[in-house]
Amino acid sequence: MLILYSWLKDFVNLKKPAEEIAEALSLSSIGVKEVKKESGEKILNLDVTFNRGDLLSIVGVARELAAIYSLSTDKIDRLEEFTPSNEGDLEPLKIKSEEDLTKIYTLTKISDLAPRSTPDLIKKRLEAAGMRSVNLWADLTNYVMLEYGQPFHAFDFGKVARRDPSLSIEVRKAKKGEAIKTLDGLDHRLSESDIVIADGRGPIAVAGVMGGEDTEVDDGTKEILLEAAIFDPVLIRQTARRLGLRSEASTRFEHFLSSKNLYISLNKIIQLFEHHGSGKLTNFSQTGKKEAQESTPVVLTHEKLSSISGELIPLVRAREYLERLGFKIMSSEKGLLCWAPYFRGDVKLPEDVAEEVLRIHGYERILPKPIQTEILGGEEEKTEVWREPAASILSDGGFNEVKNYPFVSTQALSHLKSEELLRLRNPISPEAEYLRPNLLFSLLENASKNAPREEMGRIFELEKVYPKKGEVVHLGGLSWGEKEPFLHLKGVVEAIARKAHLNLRMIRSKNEYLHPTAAGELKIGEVPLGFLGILHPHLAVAFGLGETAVFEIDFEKFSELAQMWGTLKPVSSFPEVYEEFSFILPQTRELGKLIEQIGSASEIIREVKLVDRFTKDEERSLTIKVIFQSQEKSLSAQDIKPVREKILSLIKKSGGSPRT
Amino acid sequence: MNAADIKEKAFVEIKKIESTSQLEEARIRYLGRDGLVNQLFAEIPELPREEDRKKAGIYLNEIKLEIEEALAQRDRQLKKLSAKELEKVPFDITAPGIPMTGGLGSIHPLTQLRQFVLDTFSNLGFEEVSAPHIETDDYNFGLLNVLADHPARDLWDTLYLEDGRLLRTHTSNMQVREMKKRLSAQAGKPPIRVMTFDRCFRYENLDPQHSHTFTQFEILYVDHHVSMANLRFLSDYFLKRFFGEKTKTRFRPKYYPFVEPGVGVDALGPNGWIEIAGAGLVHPQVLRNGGIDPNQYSGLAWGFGPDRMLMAKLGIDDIRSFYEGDLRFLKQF
Repeated sequence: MLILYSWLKDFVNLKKPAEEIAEALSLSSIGVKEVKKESGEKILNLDVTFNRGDLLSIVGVARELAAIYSLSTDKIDRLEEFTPSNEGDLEPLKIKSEEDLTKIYTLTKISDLAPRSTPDLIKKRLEAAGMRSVNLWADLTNYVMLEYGQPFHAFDFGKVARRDPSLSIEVRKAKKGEAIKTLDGLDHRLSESDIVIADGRGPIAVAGVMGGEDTEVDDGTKEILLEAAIFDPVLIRQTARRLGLRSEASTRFEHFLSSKNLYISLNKIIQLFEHHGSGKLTNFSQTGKKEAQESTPVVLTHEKLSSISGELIPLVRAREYLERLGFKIMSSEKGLLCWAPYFRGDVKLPEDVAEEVLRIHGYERILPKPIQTEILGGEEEKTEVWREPAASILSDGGFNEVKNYPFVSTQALSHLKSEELLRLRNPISPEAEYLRPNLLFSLLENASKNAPREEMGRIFELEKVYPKKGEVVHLGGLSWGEKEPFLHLKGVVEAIARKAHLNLRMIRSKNEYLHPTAAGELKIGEVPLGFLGILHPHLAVAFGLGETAVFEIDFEKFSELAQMWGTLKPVSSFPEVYEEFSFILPQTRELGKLIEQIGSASEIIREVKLVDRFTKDEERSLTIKVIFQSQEKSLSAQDIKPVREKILSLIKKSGGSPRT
Repeated sequence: MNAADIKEKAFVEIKKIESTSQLEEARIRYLGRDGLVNQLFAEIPELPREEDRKKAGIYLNEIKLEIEEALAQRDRQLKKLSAKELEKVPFDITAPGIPMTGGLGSIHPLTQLRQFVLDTFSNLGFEEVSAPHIETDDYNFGLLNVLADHPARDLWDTLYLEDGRLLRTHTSNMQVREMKKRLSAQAGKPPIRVMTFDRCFRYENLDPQHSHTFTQFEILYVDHHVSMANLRFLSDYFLKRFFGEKTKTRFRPKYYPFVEPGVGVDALGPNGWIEIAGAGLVHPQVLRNGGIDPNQYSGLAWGFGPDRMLMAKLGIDDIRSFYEGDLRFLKQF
């Protein structure tokens, strides 16, 4: 909300510069976005929060500043309410109102108006608030709204009377099919939850939001029907949002408004119409009731106050702060009995009162107090435990961590089945309409964007994905432009598995996104974890990539299985002997299985590892090193000989041809 | 001692010499006028045969030359090791290092900050928890005192799924979940000390300052007599660790429906105060919604946006840098 600083001085005697006032407000009440200077005047831009609707007015801000600086509020306290009983000879207007739609609804008729131009001071103050000057009548309603926070609407009485001479004004819900052309010249179809002001012929205003065009005041208006009301805030808000017609008025209606303030501002606006427009008050009617003045007090105990603040603030001090804020206070044995002032609808609990005390006391006076720690049990979530080790291994392996949006792009969508995806009801754009079911396509897009300037790249992501069966954390990696990408990627994934003491298995299986032969499923025991392989060449082409390797696993499942400590094998004290076996094995035969078989071929085989690998003209030459060692004795040539024979036969049986 | 022994002894000794003065002593001992080699020369005339005398002379001369050479070599070595000589070795330390094979990877800045933040608060006994990204209206709003059609909902522009659930707009959806979870667990009742660092989503168009996907960190502490002074302590504890011990901070009133009192936390930067975090004491209604009696317990919540924090710290001017996978940006971490 924009307000002209000098306007505040109508109500409270401020001596400090605007910047200092802004600082004080932001430290004790509400945020001030900026203080700007326009034609020699300072304008404050206030960030009024929902709970402080009372600050959507000059009077409210002036009162707040008076409390902060302990200044007199005489000028505000002396403001008088309009009291219809004093105007006993006023002829009432007919108003019908459905219950619950309004707390209070008043109509005031002002006659004998003589058009004039808006005084400069009023124009200046409206413009500073970002409001356009329209005509004197509309300007006066806006002016009083800015000053007191109570919105008004002015109907041209003549136009209303011409529409429906019976003048049967009604506040009701809109009926099915009803429509209205509003002041801005737009037609709006109304819904049955909208509140309207209607006469016998239909709606003449959308309550709290905007008036109708055909009853609009103009320079020729001689008689005005002035509406001041407090509507149901929720309904006003829904209508304003639905019609896209949020305004200064509708914003105020969404907040707490008090009937006392309504009568104060009504008094003021009648004075202004009389003074600037030479008008005469002729009719007044109201439905609804003024809210009761006295409500039950909130009790603030010393214990509560010190428990919330963590400081010792004497109740006498608290009382002084609250009285400055307009609270009525009585001391009792229990503590302070606090009655919030009429304009504060937000103070209901002892906590609310304590906050009032603290902000006037000053948060800077609350000193840090260490927490009393008590040791808590409990286990960390496994997925969280394994994040860091996995990311470290990947980054040590040359992978760069990326983080992507949770959505499926339109490009990726063409490769996925949209009926299997979770869809947003209110997507921001087609690029953010479906939730991603995997990391693969996010990574592909990263690669596609980076590949033109990075001939080689390795990336990974550790984040949530949202398949229909439920959100889950996945770990995925991808590399492009690399020699032997499959084996390099597999090496890194194996390293992660090794860190978690898991034995990773690779099972042949088909996956529509992957190469038909150079890809498979990753498993721990019989538990499927994800996939690893060469990206299907069609998909690679679609994303402008060359040979690309990818993997993606369910990281929650992985973490569930992962072990911090593995099972140790005792270190043998007997010497070890090793032997190397070189052979040729076609790519169609499984080296992994062969190594596993050799490893379990004899008690004395401690370890089998691949030490050399060479591929030329489709022919794969391999060398494995087998380490023999016993836990019980030094091995002799006789011990090793039969095992060697067995190894050679296993190599042959699996399709290998030993080389010598 | 025969000639061969003398030679071997000399070689062993010379290798151990550490200074030029020791070198000179050794030279005198072996090759000096009354040195060990000359003593052997003196024995030659005593040999009976002319032929042996000749051979011995040649042999001793060779040994003499070899020892001289060993001494000279050691002298050169000693000179090379001298501080003076080392000073002369040319080396450009400003030349770029040789890249690791394959290139070292990088960890996303948000992940690095995450580790720092979690470590910091785990020092104070906070446990990491997580809560769903796809959430019900209740946990994200209703149970946090943000009722339907409450104007406060304007603070959160929300993305909804077709099935009526939503993408959580803040990490605060963990609050009532954690209260309920812990109440039903063996532990039974507060204290609760938990933290979460994770993603949230809002209806925002992408631009340098806005993102529909962003990150939040949040702590929740429920116990007897948790106060604003405790909040101040935790807030300062973190901000001073992150921005430096001398960092000035302050609290300002700020409205969030799920805390009372609510504050905004500012830190003083080179260009003035900047808002860093939001916090407050858990609203009694929220405690009640989590099954905790607000007359016995109170709680605090404190949180910040890691994206903005990193942007402020590192001078990053586009929030999208974190989420668009550009390796030119990411490789710098």
